[in-house]
Amino acid sequence: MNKLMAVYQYELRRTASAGRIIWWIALASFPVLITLLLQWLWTSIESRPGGPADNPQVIIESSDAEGGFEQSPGSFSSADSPANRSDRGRKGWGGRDRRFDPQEDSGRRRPRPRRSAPEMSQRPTIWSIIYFITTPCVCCAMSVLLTAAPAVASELEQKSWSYVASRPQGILWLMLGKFLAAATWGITTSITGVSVALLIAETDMKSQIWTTIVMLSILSAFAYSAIYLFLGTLLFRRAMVLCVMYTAIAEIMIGAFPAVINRLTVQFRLRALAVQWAPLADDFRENDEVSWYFGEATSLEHIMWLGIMTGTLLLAAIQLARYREFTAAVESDL
Amino acid sequence: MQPMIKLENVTKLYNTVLGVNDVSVELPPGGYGLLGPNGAGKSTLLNLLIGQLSPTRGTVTVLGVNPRNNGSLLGRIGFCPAFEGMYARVSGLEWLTYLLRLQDYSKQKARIRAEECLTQVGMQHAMHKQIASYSRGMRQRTKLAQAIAHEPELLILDEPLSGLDPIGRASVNKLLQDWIGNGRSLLIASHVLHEIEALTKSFLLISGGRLLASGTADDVHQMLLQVPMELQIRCSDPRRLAARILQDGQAELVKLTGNTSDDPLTVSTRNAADFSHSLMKSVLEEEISVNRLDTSDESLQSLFNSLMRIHRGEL
Repeated sequence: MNKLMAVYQYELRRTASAGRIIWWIALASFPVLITLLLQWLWTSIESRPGGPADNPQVIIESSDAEGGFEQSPGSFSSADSPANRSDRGRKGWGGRDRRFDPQEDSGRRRPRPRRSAPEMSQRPTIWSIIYFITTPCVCCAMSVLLTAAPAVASELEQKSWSYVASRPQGILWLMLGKFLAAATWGITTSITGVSVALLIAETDMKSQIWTTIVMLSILSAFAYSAIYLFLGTLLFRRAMVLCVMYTAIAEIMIGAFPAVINRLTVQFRLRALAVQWAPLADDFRENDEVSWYFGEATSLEHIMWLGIMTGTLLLAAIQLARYREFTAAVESDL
Repeated sequence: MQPMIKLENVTKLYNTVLGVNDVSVELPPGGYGLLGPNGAGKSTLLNLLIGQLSPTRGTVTVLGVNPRNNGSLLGRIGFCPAFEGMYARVSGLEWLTYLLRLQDYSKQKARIRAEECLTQVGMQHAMHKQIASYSRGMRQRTKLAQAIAHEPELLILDEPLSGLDPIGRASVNKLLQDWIGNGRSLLIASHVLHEIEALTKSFLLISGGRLLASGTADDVHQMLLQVPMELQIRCSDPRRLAARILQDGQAELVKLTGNTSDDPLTVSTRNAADFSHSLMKSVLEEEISVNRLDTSDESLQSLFNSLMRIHRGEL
């Protein structure tokens, strides 16, 4: 443990450069900026003359042939009964709301629907989705990418590998220390970002959103650290390119496929956990398509999958580093 | 006595490039110099000894065990690579403390030992400064400190004196002499003969990945005496002088490229002392004026060239 702590502390100390800290601040600012932008947008919509605050109107769900009402800010609604919620859920969540327009009923051309800010009861769902995308998926993954992907390459480029590799089990402790340091960068970026963002956001259930996002960020940080460390060890000369390609192809594209293959991605597991943990609207969570997409797996199963994936890839990275002949002498000698 | 290092038919290939070629040697504990020109395979051999490379063929045994991924052995070896490879943004003390903690020293003990070692190599005034601010000599001394800090049984050093000023060189030499004097083992690689002569009298000569010779300094000098010496003579009448030298029978080879005073006469001889007497006599008798006489020096490179030619059967 002393050796692990030695590498971990040294790595954090060594990687805390001005450039890295600027990146850290930039990434942590991402959810904050998105929050500020949306808050400003919604405030401006609400305060607009003729907007919802000045002119309460009834809203009807667009796809609602069977009749379902939803309340716009300041308006009356009779649609939010549990029966109607589950009914909506089967038809699809988030059907586009339209203002009631008498002209539509009389067959005349309907004017463009007026935009409205989401009501307070919808905001935990919206913020949960936004923070899920911005924090564990972007902030955390990017922060880990910048630290874990070049972990081996940086040691080899500056030829410092030999000093650690010539210590008893040096490579093992180096890899574990770098893994923990990368995860720490990711977790601290995410926690800072979501904490500040939630201070600004006007929503209910802040503590539940915070807890969910922090838990997902921790899982994301460890999983992506292992993946990027493995890829960085596998192809250290093109580590960043490989990791970016992996993220784009495997995590973003394949992770979004509604097929069995997406279950191999971290994104799928994180999304499934987000659906289970985040304070989302019931009609979203109980939607048939959502249920089908994420399957029947429990939170524990998803966490176990992530744990197995992380452990396997970390072990593979360590073994790869131990058995590959990483030495600067190889190149300098020839 | 168990050999300190045992190599049996060790060959290391980097794809199709030969790093070390069929090296077999057995060294008892002691101090040894590994001599070879740049690119000879010294660093490859040292990396095989510390287990960072595995041989393509043959077996490597260090202190009785295979060094490849052998954690327990690495605690008994101190290694100083030729390249710097130190983190620039930390101090020498931090770096050494970190490496000592990887040798299982507690944080406090590691710091105390790091301070002792840096003081030992003359870095006491700069140990708190960032490595980025160190001169080449300071970096060399810091590298040496990390190699000796955990008090290994065997110290393996790759070009440890390069970049040191004369004072630094003398102090490092003294430290290494004391190291050998205390009965510890040392293998030091260099391409400069006199650097190693000051430390040890036992050498391994390597070139082109092959171990050409091993032995004491006397053995090396004996080899040098047996290696044909080459001289270039510029004189007023090279053709006549060439004929006279051949007639005297002291030369192995006489090569004439032209007959003007600008064309050198190249002579190869095994007995330089007798040849010089014979040459003086011939020059006086033939009344030839010698403008210039160049001898190939006894540098390591010429020795290696000669040994390689012997190895190939050309001499």
